[in-house]
Amino acid sequence: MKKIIVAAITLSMGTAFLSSCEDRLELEPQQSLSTSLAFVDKRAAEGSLIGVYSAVQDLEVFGAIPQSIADYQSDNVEFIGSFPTFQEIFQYTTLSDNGSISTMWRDNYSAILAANAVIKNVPGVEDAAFTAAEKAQFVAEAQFLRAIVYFQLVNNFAQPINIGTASGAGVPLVLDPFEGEVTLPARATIGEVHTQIKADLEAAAAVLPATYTGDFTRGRATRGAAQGMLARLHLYRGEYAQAATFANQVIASSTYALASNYSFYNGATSEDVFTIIMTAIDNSRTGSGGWASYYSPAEDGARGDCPLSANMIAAFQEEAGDRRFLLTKKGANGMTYTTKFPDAVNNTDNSPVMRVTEMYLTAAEALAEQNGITAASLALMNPLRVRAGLPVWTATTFASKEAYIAAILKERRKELAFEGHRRMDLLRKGLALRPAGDAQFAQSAAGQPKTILPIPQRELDLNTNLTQNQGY
Amino acid sequence: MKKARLLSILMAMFLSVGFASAQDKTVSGKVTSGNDGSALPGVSIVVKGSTQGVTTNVDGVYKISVPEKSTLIFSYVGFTPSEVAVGNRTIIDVQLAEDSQILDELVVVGYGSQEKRTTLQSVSKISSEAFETQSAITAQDLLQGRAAGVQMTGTSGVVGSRANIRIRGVASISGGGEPLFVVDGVPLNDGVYSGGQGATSLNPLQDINPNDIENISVLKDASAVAIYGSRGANGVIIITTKKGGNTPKTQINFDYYTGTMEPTNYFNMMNADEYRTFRSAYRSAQGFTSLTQPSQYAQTGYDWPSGVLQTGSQNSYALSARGGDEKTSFYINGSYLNTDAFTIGNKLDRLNGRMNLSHKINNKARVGVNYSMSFTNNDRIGSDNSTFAPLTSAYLQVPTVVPFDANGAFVNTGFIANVLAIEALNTNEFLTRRSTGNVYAEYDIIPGLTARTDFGMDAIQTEQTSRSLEIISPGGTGSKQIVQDNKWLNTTTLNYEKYIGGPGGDHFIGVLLGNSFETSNYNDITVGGSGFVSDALPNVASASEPTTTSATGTQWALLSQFSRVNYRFRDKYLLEGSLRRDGSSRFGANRRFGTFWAASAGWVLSDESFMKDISFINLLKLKASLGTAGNDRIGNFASLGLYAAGQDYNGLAGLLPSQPANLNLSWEETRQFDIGFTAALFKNRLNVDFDYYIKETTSLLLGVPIPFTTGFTSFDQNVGALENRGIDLQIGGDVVRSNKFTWNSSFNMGYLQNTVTDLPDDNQDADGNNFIAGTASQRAVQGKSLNEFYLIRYNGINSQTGDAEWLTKDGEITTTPTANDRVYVGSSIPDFTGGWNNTFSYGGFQLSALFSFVSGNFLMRDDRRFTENGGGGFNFSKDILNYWQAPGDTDAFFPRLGSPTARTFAQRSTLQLEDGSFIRLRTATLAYNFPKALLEKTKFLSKARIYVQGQNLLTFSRTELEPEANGGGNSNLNFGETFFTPPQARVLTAGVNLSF
Repeated sequence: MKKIIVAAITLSMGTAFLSSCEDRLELEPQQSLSTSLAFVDKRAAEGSLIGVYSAVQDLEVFGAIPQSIADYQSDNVEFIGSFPTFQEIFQYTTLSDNGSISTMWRDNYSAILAANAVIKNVPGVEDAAFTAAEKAQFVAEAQFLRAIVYFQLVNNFAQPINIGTASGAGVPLVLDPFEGEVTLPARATIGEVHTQIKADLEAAAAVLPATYTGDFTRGRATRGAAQGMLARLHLYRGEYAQAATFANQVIASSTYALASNYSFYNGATSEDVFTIIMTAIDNSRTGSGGWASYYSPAEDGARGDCPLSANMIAAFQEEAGDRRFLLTKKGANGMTYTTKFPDAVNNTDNSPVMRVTEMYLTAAEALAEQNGITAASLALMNPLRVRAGLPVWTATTFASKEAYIAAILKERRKELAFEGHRRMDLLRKGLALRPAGDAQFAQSAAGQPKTILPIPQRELDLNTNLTQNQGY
Repeated sequence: MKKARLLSILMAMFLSVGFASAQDKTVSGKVTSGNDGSALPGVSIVVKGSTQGVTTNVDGVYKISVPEKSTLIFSYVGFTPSEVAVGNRTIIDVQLAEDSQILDELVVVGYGSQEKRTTLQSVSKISSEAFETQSAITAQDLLQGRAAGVQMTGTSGVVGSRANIRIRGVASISGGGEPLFVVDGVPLNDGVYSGGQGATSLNPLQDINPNDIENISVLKDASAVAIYGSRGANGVIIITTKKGGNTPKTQINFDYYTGTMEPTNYFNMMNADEYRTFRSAYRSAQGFTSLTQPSQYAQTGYDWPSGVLQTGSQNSYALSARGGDEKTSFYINGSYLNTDAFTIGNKLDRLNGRMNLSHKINNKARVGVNYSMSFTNNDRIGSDNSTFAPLTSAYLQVPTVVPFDANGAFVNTGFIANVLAIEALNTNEFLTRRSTGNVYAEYDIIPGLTARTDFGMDAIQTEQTSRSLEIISPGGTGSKQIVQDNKWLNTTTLNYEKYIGGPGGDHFIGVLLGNSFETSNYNDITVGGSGFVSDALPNVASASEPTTTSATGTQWALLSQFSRVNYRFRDKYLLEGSLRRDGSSRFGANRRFGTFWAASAGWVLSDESFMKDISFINLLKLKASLGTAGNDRIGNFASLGLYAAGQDYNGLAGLLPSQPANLNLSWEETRQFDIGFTAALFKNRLNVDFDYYIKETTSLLLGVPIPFTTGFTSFDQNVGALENRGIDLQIGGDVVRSNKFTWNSSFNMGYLQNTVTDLPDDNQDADGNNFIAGTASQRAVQGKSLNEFYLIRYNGINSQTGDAEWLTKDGEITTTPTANDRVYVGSSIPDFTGGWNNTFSYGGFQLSALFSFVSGNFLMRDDRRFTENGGGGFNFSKDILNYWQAPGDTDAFFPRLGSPTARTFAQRSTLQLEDGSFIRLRTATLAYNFPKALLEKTKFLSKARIYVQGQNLLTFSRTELEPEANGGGNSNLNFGETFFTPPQARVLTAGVNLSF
C-alpha cells in the first residue's frame, strides 16, 4: 500500500509540475509584431510607414541593382564583372530564369505591398493622438513610394509607351495588402499602370508637406518630390506641356536650388529633391552591398563591375574642360570609374532618385519640344553649362530644334550619368541603347525584346494569368 | 619515431618483469571450443575471489598456480564463462560453450533498453568497435556506411561543416529533415549558430566527442520513434556514452593518433599562359577589338589552387579512466583534438571533458550524473559561394593575377579576393563552449517498478570573431557575434517490468509512463564596425563606424506525456504499443497539442516446437509495426502573421510585413508501416535484419511559393504529401571463424524510393505537374521525387558547325534553348546507399576495411557554369581548351570560339549534371594487438594496440571530381548540388590504444 502511494505521489508530482508548465507554451516572438499590432496606434503606424522607406531603400529597389542593370543595357558603362546574371544582361543574352531579375521583381512588389498596407490600414487606426492630417500625410507618403516603385517596374519590364503603346502589356497592378488570399493578377496595360502612378502622385502632391525636419526634407516624400516625379512621368509619355509645368513648379520652390558645384553628392542638400539616405548602419543591404559595390573600383573594396564605357568617356571629352568628367578616377585595373558613389566599405552613398538638375533638364527639353529653341529653355540649360565649366549656349548655337534637343539629351546624359536615367532617356526617344558599331547595336534598338527585362520565369510558373515579354 | 620509442619502452618492461613465485599447487590443461573442439587461445583464467590469473597460449594451453580449494573462472569473448572447482586435480581440460550473446544483446530504445531477441523496434546499432577502426572527428562521421537506411553525406571537406543525415529518406519539404540527436536522454540543440560564409552553417553537433561514445542507436520505424512524438518523424539517433562498472581494477585508457589530410581531388584550371592564349583567341573570335593578343595581358602568373592547398594534419589525445565498486561507478575522460585541414586557414581545436558517475544509495535508490564540457576553436574559411573562400577564389582567380607585389607584400586583387592575404592576415574564428548533461535519481518502489526523474541541460555558447584588414577591406572591418542557446528539460518516468508468476513465467508485462517538459532559449548579440586606425587593433570597439548592432532572441517549449506498454507470451508472441502527446509552443493555440502512436507485434518463430529441429536457425523473429510521428522543425513562430521590426530608415524605427498568418498551421505527420524479420543462423554466425517500410508524410508544412505580387515569397500551409518506401537490409557474420583466423563481414544496404504524392495545384509546370521550386536546377514534383532536376538537355558540339547544341523540349536540336525547353532528367536522391565492412583477424593482427556506396543519383555541378564559361571574367577549366577547330572535330568539348553558343555554352543544362554514384573505401585499418601474455608481464599494460589507418583512400565514380559533396548542407530542397564545395579529405593516420 505504502509503495503504491509512493508511485502515485511520483506521478502526481510530475503532473503537477507539468501542468504549471503549460503556460510556458504561450510564447511570443521577440523581434516581430503580430499583424494586428502593426497598425495599433500612431507609433506603430509610423513604424509601418518607415518600413516602406526601408523596403524602397533595398538593394534591389532603389539601392543600385535596378539602376545598374539599366546601365548594363545601355551605353554609359562597360560590364567587366563576373556575375552571370548581370553578364547576360550586358551581353543581351538574358533568360527568363535570371535570378537577379527575379529578386528585383520580388523586392519591388514587396515594397508595393507594404505601401498598400499603410494606404489601407492607416485611415482606420484608432488613436486620439493621431490626427486626420497626419493620417493623410502617411497615406500620401505611401502613395508616393508605391508610385515610384510601379514607375520603376513598368519602365523595366514593359516597353516604353512610345513603342509599346498605352494598350501594351505593363505589369500587374496590385493595390491591396496581402491578407491570406493568393490572387493571380494579369498584367495591366502600360496605360493603366501609368494612370495609377499618376493618380498616386497627384494625390500625394496634394497632401504632402514641402519640408520635414533635417535631412528628411530630402529623404522623405515631399510635395516637390511628387511634382518632380509627375514631371518625369509626363516627359516619358511625351506630354511636354505637363512635364514642363511640374518641373517648373519644383524649380520655383524655395526648397530647392541648383548647386553651384558638384560637391553635393551624398549630402542631402538643396540640390536634392528626393534621395534615399544611406547610413553605415542602415543602407540598401547592410554589410553587403550598395551603389559603390558596383560603380567603384575593386581596390576600394567594391566589385568594380562597371567602369565607364569608352563611349561615355568620349562623350565627356567631346568638349574640353567638362568638370563632370572630374567626377571620375582611374581604377587599379586601368579602367575609369565614377566617384559619385565612393563608399564601398560602409555603403553610405545615398540613392540619388531625383535632384533639381533633372527638373532643369526636363523643363528645358519639354519647352524645346513644344516651342523649339527659346530663351526660356536656354535659360534653364545655361546654368548647367556654366557649372560644368563649358561655354553657354545661345539661340544660334544650334541649327535646328532637333539638334538642340539632341544636345540637351547629351547634357542630360552627362549630368545624370549612373543615377538611373540613361536607359529610359534613350528608349523614350526611340533610340538604340548601344552606339552604332557596338556588337549589340541591333539588339539594343528601341523596341527590341532584350531592351526590357523578362517577367521572371518563377512568376509565370506560379501565375498562369501572366504573359511573357516577346523574345523570352 | 614516437612509435619506436613506445616499442622500446614496452620491451624494457617485458624484460624487467620476472615470473611470479610458485604457490601451493600447479594446475594445467587445455581449453577448447564446445562448438568444434578447436583450441581457444587467449582465454582468461582467474582464481575466483582474487585478481590472480593467466591466459591460454595459442594452443589453448594454460598453467596456473592456485591455492588449495580454489575455483577457476574461465572466460572468453563469445563463450559462456565456466567455473570449475579445482579439487585435487592438477590437469583440468575445459570445453567452453559458445554463448548466444547476440541474442541477449541490449538494444537502446527511447527511454529505456530492450533485449535484441524480443524487441519489436527497428533499431540499427553501431557499437564502439566501429569507432576503433575509424578515427572520426565528429560522431556523425561514424554513421556513414554502417547502418542500413541511414544516408550520411559529408557536405564538404571544410573542417566543422554540417553533415546531411537522412534516415529512411526525407520526410519533409520545408521543415527540417534531420533526425533528433539524444545523448544520454538529453535531446540536443542543433540550430543554426553560425553564418554560412558562402556555404551552410557549421555543424552544431561537432562538440560530441567520439571517444566518449559507447554506442549509437538509430531508431527508424514507427514503433521506435513514436515515443519521441512530434520530433520522431525524421528518425532518432541515440548516443549512449561510456559508463563505469563494478570492476576489480580501474581501467585507464590512453588513445592517440596522428595523421595527415589531403584533398581527394580538385579542379584542373588553366595556368597563366593557357589563360592568355585562350582568352585572347576567344575575344578575337568573338569580334572584340581589345585584349585579342596574349601580349596584351599581364605577363605575370600564379598557381592559386596550389597556393591554398596544403597537406593538413590531425592529432588526437584521449585519456580516460573507468571503474568503480559495488556502490559507485565512474567514467572520466579528457581529450584533445587538433586538425589543420588541407585548405589553408581551416583548423579545429577541441577540448572535451566528461564525467559519468552513478551511485547506489541503497538497494532501492540510485543517483547519477552524466556531464560533458567541450571547448571548440574553429579557424574558419569561407567555402562554396563566397569570394572570400580560399578554394572557390583560387579556382576562379584569373591566373595572371599575382597575390604579391614586387616587394613580396600582399596586394588587393579586387572582387575575387586575395585569399592568401585573407587567410594569412584576417581573423575568422568560431568558438563553441558547450555543457551537456543530466542528473538523475531512480528508486525501486517495488520489485520491477522503478521511478526515475532526470534533469538535463544543453548549454551552448558560440562566439564568431571576424576582422578583415586594410589590404583586403579598405579601412578595415570587424565583427563579433555571440550566440547562446540554453536548454533544460525534466523527464519523469515510471517503469514496470514483470514476468507474471516470477522469472520464466508465461506472461511478461512492461509499462512505461512518463512526462517531460523541455524548453530552449536562444539569444544572439552581433556588433560590426568599420574604419580602424590600425590593423593592430583586433576588436570591433576600435572601429569608427558601427555597421551592425543587433541583439535578438527566441525560444520554444515542449510539454509531453508518453507511455509504452509491452506484453509477451512465453517471450514468443510479442506486442507493443506506444503513445505520446506533445504540446508545442511552435503551433497556434488551437492546434497546440498532437498525439502520436504506434502498435507492433512480433512472433519468435524459432521458439516454436516445429522449428526446434531446424538446428541451423538460432533465432527467427517476424515483426510488423504501424504508427505515427511528427516533425516540429518549422521555425518557432510559423503560424503567426508578422511584421518584423528593425526595418529602419535614417534613424527612424520601422516595421515590415515578414510573414503571412496561417492560424490553421499544425503538425507534419508521418505514418509508417514496417514489416521485417530478424534471424540468427548457423550458431549465430550469420545475422540478418530485413525491414520493408512505407513511410507516408501528410500535412506537409510547406512554404508554398506564391507569386511575388503578394509581397511574400511563400506561405506556410499544411498541404501535400510524400512517401518514402524502401528496404533496409543488414547481413553480418563470421565468414571464417577458426583458431587463428577470423573474417567478419557485415553488409548493409538501404533501398529508397522517394515520391512526392501530393502538392498544391496552384503551382504547375507547362505539362501540368505540380511542383515546389527548390533551386534553379531542381524541384519537388508530384509523381516524382523531392529533388528532381529540371534542366535543358545538352546535346554536344556539332562536329560540322562547331556550335554547341541543346535539345528543345520536343527533342529537336537547337542552339538557342529557352527555359521552356527544360525537362525532368533525374533525381539527386540515391536508389541505394550502404556499406560493406570486413574485418580480418589473424593472431594479433586485424585488418578492417569499410566501403560505403551510393548509387542511382545525379549531382549538379553548378561551379562548372563558371569554370566553363568562355565569356566569363574568371579562370577557366582546362577542359575548354579542347574547343572545336575544324569541321570533323568530333571530340571537341567546347564550341567554336567564334560561335554565338560559346557565350551560352555554360548556361544551366545537363552539361553540368553528372552521375553521382560512387563506391568509396571509407576507412581501412591495419592494427596489431600485443598478445595478452606479453602484456601481463608488463604488470600494468592490459591492452596495447597500434594501427595505421587510411580514410577515403579509394573512390570509384563516374565523375572526375568529388562525388560526395552537397553544397546545400541540410536543406531538403537543395540536395546534390555543388558550387566549388571542397572535397572530402584523404586522411592517413597512425595511432595507439593503451589500457592500464
